[in-house]
Amino acid sequence: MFFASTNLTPALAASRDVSQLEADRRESRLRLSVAIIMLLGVFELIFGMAWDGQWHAAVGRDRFLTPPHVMMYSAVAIEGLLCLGMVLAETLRYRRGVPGVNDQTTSKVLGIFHAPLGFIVTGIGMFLILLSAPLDNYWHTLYGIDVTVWAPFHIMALLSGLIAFLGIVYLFGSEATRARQRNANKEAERVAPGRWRNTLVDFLLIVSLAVLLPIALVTALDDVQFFQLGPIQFAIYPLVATLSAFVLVASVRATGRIGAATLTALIFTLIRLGLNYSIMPAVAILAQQEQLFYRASAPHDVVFVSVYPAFLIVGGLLVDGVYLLLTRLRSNRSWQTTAAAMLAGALVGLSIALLETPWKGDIDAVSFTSVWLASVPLAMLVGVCWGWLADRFAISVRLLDR
Amino acid sequence: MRSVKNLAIILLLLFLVAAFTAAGSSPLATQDAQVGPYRLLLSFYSLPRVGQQLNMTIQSKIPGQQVQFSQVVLNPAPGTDANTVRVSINPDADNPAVYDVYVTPPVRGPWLLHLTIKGSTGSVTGNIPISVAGPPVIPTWLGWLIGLLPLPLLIAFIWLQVNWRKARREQVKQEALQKPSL
Repeated sequence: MFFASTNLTPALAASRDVSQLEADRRESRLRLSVAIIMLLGVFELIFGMAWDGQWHAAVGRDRFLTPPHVMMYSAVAIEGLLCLGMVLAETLRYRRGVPGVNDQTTSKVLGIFHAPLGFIVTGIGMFLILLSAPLDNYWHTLYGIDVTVWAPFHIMALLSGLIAFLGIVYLFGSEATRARQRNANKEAERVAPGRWRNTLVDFLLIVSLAVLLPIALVTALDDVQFFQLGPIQFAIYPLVATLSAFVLVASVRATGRIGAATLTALIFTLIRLGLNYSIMPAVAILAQQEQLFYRASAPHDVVFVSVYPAFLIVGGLLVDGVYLLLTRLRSNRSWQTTAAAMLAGALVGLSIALLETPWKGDIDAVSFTSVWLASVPLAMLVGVCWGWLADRFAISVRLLDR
Repeated sequence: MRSVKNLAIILLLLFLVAAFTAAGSSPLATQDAQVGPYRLLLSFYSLPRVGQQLNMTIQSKIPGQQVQFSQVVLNPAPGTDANTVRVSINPDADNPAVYDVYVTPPVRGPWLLHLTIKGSTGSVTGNIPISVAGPPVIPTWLGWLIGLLPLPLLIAFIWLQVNWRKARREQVKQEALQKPSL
C-alpha cells in the first residue's frame, strides 16, 4: 500500500514500512504501559469508594480527609496528572514529528492538543471528580453526614467517574485496534503476527469494561426501592442492575471473542468478593487506630457490595451463548449481530430480575412475588436497550485506532 | 543607610503584627450559659463556623468561683445530622480558672457542648447550645444543575462518537473498495 502511494523503490519502501511498524509498536508500548498504571489506579479508586461508603455508614463522615477519601482522591490526582502528562507529551511529540505520533494515531482536541482519545476523556473525567470533591464537602457541611448517594455532587462524582472509566476503555480499545491492524499488516507481509499481544490487550479491554460496573451500580443504593406504573408496582433495582447487559455485550462485541462476557462477569465477581472480604477489616482497623466508635446504625454487610449482582456469571454465560449460536449459524449481517446484542441484553435482564433480589427487604411474600414477576419483563426491555447501545458502543471502540 | 531602612521596615512589620495580635486577644462574642447551679461565660475568639476550628474560653461568671470542666464533647442537637466530636479543653496557662476550648464542628446547625462541671456546689452534667454557621446555602435545583454538568458532556461525547463512527465506517468502506486496485 505504501509502495503504491509513493514513488520509492521496493527496498526503500519495505525498510520504511518496517521502521514505521517499529515506531508504531514503540508508541503502543508507551500508551499501554501508562494505561496499565491507570487501570491499577482505577482499582484503587474502586476500593477507596467502597471503603468510603462503608466508612460513612459505620463510623460517619467526621471530616473531609478521611482515610478512604485520601485513598480515592490520591488515585484521582495521580490518574489526572498521568493523563495531563500524556496529553502534553503526545502533543509535543506530534509537533516534533516523532514517528508513530501523527494524525492517524492521535485525536485533535481544541485545535491545539494531539493525543489518544482515551487520555483526553479520562483526564476530563478525573478533573470533574476532583471538582466535585469540594462541592460534595460543601453539601455535607450543609445537610449532614448521611447524605444519600442520590445527592447532586455524589452523582456528579459518579458521572465523572463513568466518563473517566469510559476513557480507559477507549485507551485499551484503540490499542486493541492498532494491534489488530499491525497483525493484519504482518499477515499480509507473511510475518508471524504477535498473537499474545492481541490477547493481552483484549484481556485488558475486558478488565476495563468490567470495572465500569462497580461504579455504575452504586446508583442502585437508594432509599426509594419501588415505583408504581398504574396498578403495578416495580422494583427499581433490577432496572439499574440490568446495566450489566451493556458491559457484558460490549465485551464480546468490542473484543470479537466469545467467552469475553463470562470472563467480564468473572472479573466483576472477583472484585465483588475482594471488596466483600476486605472492606470490613479496613474500616475496623482504621476506626480502631483513630479511636472512632461505630454508629448504632452501622451495617453488618458491605454497603456497596449489597447492590453488586451475585450471579452475573449466569448473564455472562447467556451472552456468550447467544454469540456462540450466532457463529454456529454463520450469520454476520449487521442487523443480525445487532439483534443478537438485543437478545443477549434481554437475557441478562431476565437473569438479573430472576436471580438478584437485594430489594426484597422485609416485604411480605405476596407483595414480593407480584413485584418480582412484574419486574421481569421491564428488566428484559431495559436489557434490550442496553444491548443495542452496547452494540453501537462496541463498534466505535473497534473502529477507534487513535 | 540601606541597613537602617531595612531595620525600620522590620520594626514596622513587627509593630503591625503586635497590633493585630493585640486586637485578636479580645473575644469576638460572648455567651452566657446556665448549667445546674453554675452560671458560665463563654468567650468566642473565633465564631462557630463549620469546618473551622472554634477557639473559645469557658469560665464561671461569678468572680472568685472555682469550677473544673471535664468529659467535654460536642454533640449534634436534634435536627443536626452528625457524629459526636471530640473537644480539646485545658486550663489556661495564665489563668487556671479559665479553660481554653478547641473544637472543629463538621456540620452547620445547632450543637450541644456537653460537659461535666465540678465546683463548690457539687458536680453536674449539662449541655450548652451552640449554633454553628455554615457557608451560604445554594438552592437544591442549582446544586442539581451543577451536579449534572457531566451529563451533557457525556451526551455530547456520545453524539460526537456516533458521528465519528459513521464517518470512520465510510472511510473503512472506501479503503476496502480501493484495496484491490492497489
